[in-house]
Amino acid sequence: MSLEAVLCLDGTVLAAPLADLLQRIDHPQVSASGVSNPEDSS
Amino acid sequence: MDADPGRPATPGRLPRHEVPPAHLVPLARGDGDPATLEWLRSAERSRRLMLLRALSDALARHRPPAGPLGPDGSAWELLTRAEKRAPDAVDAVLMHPPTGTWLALVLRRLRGTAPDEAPLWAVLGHLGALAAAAGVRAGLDFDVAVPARHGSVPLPTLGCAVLPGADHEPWAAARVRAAGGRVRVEGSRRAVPLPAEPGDDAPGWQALRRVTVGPVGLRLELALDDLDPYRAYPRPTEPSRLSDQALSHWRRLLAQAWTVLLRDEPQTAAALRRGLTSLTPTRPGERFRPHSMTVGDAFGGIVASEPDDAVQLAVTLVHEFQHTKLGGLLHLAPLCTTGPDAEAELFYAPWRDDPRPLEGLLQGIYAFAGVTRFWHAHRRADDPDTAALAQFEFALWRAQVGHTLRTVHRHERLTPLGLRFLDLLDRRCAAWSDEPVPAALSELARAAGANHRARWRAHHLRPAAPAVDAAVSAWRGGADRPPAALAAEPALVPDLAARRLDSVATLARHRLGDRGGPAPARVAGAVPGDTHLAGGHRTAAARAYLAQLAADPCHVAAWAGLGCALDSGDGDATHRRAARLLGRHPERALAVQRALLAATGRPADPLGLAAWLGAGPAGTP
Repeated sequence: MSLEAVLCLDGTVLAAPLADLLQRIDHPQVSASGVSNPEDSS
Repeated sequence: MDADPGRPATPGRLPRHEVPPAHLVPLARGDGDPATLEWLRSAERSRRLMLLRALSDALARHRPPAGPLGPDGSAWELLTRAEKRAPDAVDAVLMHPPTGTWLALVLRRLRGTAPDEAPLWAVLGHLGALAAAAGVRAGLDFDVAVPARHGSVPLPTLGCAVLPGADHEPWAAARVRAAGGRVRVEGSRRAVPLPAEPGDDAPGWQALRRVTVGPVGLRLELALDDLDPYRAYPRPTEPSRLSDQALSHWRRLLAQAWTVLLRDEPQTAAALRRGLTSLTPTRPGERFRPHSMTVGDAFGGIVASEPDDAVQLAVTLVHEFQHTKLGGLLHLAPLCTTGPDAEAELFYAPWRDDPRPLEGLLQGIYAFAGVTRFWHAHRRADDPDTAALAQFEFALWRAQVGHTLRTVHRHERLTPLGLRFLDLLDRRCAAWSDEPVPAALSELARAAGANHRARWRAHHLRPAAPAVDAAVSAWRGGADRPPAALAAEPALVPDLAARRLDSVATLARHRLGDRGGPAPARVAGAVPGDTHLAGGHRTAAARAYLAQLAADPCHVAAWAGLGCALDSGDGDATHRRAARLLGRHPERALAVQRALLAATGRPADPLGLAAWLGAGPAGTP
């Protein structure tokens, strides 16, 4: 699927997957090795 | 989206990427061939397109202030125009690992879930830089506003223009204009023309460096990215150009590491060729303590410190690539459920100083399963420089991964997919359990693992205060054993001061990997007893730990180390009881000693106290 097609998709079709995606975005997975800084890991 | 191009979508419903067994099984076993990586990459592409759509929707909804870039919608128009002319140009920019990091960050900023460390207009304006890069790649004419930071204007996947002058604002507006094949980056007063070949450096232009290593047909091609503002985590980062000398060093080590991987891990190498596209170099860490990082949003990219040698780089690539694969899978389906209390449950992770949530622990298990696999194969390489080290690392990580897997592999928060994933991984790891390792190296690995665990417990576990007070009273009153309440499960209280708990393992690596070399002048976090322990000299180690405790009765590393030093099966009953207690519950000895010191101003004899605490409940020897 192209970017243009995605930008034109019906919002109602996208509502549920986008909501799920955005919720996950708020919890980034960061895997750090060799550091102990809590900021560097999830 | 794009789940199965041959399968029509249900009207009104978006097709979804599935997790077919053909890809799940190899991934769960820690592997994954190029086809599996291509499947993950396809899902990532869909994810990023969806994130762009989410950004478009959010901007339409919120209309944040335009800032110095002005109300410029040309970036979106340019991206779609570039896609029509050259879809691969937009794909290259979209799939560039830092683009994934930026997409996630900009959405978090708009949602108020990321800190405001760079101006929002500059973070949003990065879309213009992506569009400009796509426009250049597609050979379009265009004019688009972009952010500049201290005069640097990055064009992702291509390089970074550096506007002349030394008086640049921290953040400012610039423009990229292209006409008739000529591209200029223009600041408020000065401009930089891009060279005809943007892959080459030119005055005012730093090209993104690309490294190609390996023979024809088996080449690894990746960007050595020291320029992109979103190449690291968690905030936008300024360009940090590698010196020519450092660049040569990286090229040489990558070539050597790739040779190692092609020989020892050809399947992983084949997958890496499809799944690793960018490496962000950082400064070297302490010897045998490299730093590396993988951000799930930046699929295809890793961050790694300059390695000590090629083998260390090879194992770092394997380690981080495990995170890449698991991160890609987690974007499709979770391995565990979330909930309000999920982050409160923390676990021991043998590769970390800090307690970890289940999600982080699963990442570590998967990464170190890959590390174990690497050393398992590398042991057979007959490399005299690393033969002993490989045996040690294999024995260490085989045990650590196996133990950690057993801790969580039936955890109630695991989804059906998570249960299946860990079952398959467990079976793979179990196959290593009977592999012979020379006894001395196996014992050294056991000591290093036990020491890490003991130090972790002493730092992060807290027996209940009433039980500790009761133990102090019992000790002072001459009781023959501690109160039973002290055996209750301790509370986990993360100690942010816990650092470098792996010092015995690091010292062992020095001993095995720097054959004939001098003892390390200093391994951060190590105490004198650790050096003896890593050298296999338990009696000397016990003496050194006791001397340290005489000077500092509550020294965490010395208490933890003492238990390991006494753990030889030799010695009298007092030693054996002390060893047993300190090996399993060093936190009890430390807590009681601290309380005794606070109550009386005088510490107890460490061996006597540990042996007393090691006496079981009434009726046991």
